[in-house]
Amino acid sequence: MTKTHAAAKPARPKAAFFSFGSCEGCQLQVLSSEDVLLDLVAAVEIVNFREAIDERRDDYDIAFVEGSLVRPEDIEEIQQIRKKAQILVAIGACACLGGVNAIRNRRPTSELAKDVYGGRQDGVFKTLAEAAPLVSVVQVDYEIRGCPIDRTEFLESVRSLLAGTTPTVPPFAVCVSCTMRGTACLLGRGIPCLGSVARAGCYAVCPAYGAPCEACRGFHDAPNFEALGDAFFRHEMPRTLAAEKLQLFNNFKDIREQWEKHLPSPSIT
Amino acid sequence: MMEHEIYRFPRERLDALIERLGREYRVVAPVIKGVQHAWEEVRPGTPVALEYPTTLLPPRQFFAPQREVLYRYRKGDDGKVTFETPPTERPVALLGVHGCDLTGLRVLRSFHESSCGDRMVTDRLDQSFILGIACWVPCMAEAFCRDMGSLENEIPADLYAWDFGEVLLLKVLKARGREILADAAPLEAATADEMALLRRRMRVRHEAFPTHLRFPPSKLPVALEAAESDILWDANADRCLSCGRCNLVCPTCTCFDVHDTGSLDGSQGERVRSWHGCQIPGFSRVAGGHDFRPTRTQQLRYRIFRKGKYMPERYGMVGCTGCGRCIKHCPTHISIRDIFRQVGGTA
Amino acid sequence: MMPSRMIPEACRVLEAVPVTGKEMHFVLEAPQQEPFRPEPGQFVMVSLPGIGEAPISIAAIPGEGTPEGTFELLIRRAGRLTNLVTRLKAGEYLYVRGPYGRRVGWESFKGTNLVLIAGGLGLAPLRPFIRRALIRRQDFRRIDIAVGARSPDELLFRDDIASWSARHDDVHVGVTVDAASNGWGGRIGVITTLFDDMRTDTEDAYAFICGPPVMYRHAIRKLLAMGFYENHVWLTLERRMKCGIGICGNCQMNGLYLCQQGPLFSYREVRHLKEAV
Repeated sequence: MTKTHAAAKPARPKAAFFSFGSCEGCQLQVLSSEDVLLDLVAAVEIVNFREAIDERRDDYDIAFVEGSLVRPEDIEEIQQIRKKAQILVAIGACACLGGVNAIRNRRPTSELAKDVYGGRQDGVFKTLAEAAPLVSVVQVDYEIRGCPIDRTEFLESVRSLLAGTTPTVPPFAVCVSCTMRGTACLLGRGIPCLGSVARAGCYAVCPAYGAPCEACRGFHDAPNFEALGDAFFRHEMPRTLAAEKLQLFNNFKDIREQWEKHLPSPSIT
Repeated sequence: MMEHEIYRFPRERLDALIERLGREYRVVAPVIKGVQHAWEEVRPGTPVALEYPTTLLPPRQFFAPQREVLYRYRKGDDGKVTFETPPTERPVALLGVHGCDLTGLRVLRSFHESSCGDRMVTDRLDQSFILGIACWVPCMAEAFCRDMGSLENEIPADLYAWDFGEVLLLKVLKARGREILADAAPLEAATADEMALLRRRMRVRHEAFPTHLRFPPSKLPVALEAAESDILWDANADRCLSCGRCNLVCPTCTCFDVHDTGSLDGSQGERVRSWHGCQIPGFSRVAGGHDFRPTRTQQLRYRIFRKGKYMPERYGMVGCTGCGRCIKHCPTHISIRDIFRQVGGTA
Repeated sequence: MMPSRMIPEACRVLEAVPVTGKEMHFVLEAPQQEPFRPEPGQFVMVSLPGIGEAPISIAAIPGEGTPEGTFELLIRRAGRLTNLVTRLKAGEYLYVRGPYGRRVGWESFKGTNLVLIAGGLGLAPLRPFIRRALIRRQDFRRIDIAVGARSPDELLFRDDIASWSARHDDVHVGVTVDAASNGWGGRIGVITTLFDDMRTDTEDAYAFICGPPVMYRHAIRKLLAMGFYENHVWLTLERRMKCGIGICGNCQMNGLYLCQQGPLFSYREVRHLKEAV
């Protein structure tokens, strides 16, 4: 990346970062892009970013929102953000898919509260019945997926927005990047990898270090879940394991619906 | 065989050969990388595997790279953009290329020569140095190089090797091969005993390679044409994950995508081409979203037709070398060999 | 190594005129590094560095209704590149390489009847055909032009259509829209309804079709029913393209490369191809 020259620059759009139910790891990804952080603040004026600055302003053009909606007040808050922002970008698995927060969705909240808080949760805070991705409540203009997001993809998306065009999301499987990296197929070695149904954009970093893909970016444009079950079976793993693995990031009802009917029910929910 | 010069080459001189090549070329050879073999840059002393199961990625990566900068752009003060091509890289020398991958390089050349495309790939092929190697046994169960006629192929190697352990017998196929060889070791003709051994081994070699197809590859275009509406395509498509591995590992796939990158301020960047493929979602989709080859059945049939029919009809060479990569690396074991076998039948 | 043939040339925008809400009509300086002599039916690859590249049909050929040294494009906002291209103003640059595509021998059509059928944006690639046919009017017998659009608002090249219609002695122009609100005095109906007015001798006629994918089957069906020879019906097909020079593979349709052997094909050349129409 190059140094930006103030004279040649167009007007800086104002950007804000917000978070809902999440670990805020995606925002840390942005902050840890040290080599280009100066270029980033030269290109956009950051007016709200709890992880990084004290300033809190509401006059933003672009809102980057991390996290899934988990509390009743989150609904109103995201609606307010939507009203103020010209462009709303969901960042990370929680915001785009519901992510790990949605693992709880298939059990009654009261039961979960009992398990976690021993019944002492009542009156402390309220919880939505289901953790939900932003898109279930407001219109989301663009998504930057992943757990966490990839820095290069984040910067490419910002570049596209600054150029006045739409960021792109790879339509293909993690296997494409994984194969190009030269990684030996994990699934082929009997390791329960979801890369063949998962959306790329991560440069297949997990499989490169021996960790199977967990589809944190959701699914590519043509996932074949029956074939995924077959692939597991062929490599001596039960089809139910594929379903169990899919629940980790893709358990929000609209997303679960895509794969649920193609695979046997997982034994653990 | 006798019309060619065949020299004996002590294996211990391999490092000298690598050293000699390294003066002009970026030398790559199969080496063990984790659980598999891969093409990697080597230096004298690097343990080179001359006997190896075929690599995941084919040698075409050195001629049509996975990611290649077509040009750099820079925006001038007047708003006008200027372009600059990247500097030329060192030519590549490949050591230990199997017959299937030699065939892949031939197909790559015939494709790029007969298209009206540019010379980026053929120039790299012209400038490269290739040491081919004979396989004594199938390198993996999925291989069917014998059926596809690539087991015997020695073109476009400069030197072609038969591995006899301590000694390699090297056939000179191009003057350049002799020149390099003479620099790496004193030219020493193979002995009469060695030649007799070579002839004996070559006479029986094919017995180690089972046949899978009951028809010659020249019959593929006709066989496929008759099978255009075959239920076989659906049967295989049901298993297809659209993961694209078959395209990426194929030694004769040539398709690419083009995309731009750049600095945040838009002042400069690159236009890049990177591998793409007909089994990869988005490949046949136009602006506006219409997909002209939307179903898995159509996509899978297209891949097999391209290898077995469109390429021989257009370039005179079957697009499948029998290397077996797409079978081995398919998560659900979709087999082009089985498809060819089933479509061609027993006649 | 030779420089890549994929490097474009900066072409200055001379005029940028909004057409409907979705399209811009550009008059551009022609590329100059090599003689720019496109034939009707050819296309160029247009790009904005940093954004991307896409194939666009040439809508006017230098010296044929547009001045020498210039050419025209009609670009619809349909994606991340064209959304930005359609914002270009006169004096700015569009990056162009080409022309690409088959050069169809114009001579073979001499002395025949011509039928030119354009649906929606399909009028852009057909416009150079129509213009050349009208410039060399004496080379042809009867000329029929059928133009269809979804609605009156979406009719493109209205000035051209008006000037063609004004030549009612020697050109037969029909215009129809799929649906219209009040104020439209013209015909309403699908484009094939215009074919009924064509009193052309199909024994010696060529038809050229360009339009949205759904139009082809219907139009071809009707032309064949009218008696056209299969190799006298010509189609302009569309595919994704990334190079224009026969190597990226994106535009391959069965064994054919659209960017080289097309995008203009006779129906007989593609009728057996499952992926064509």
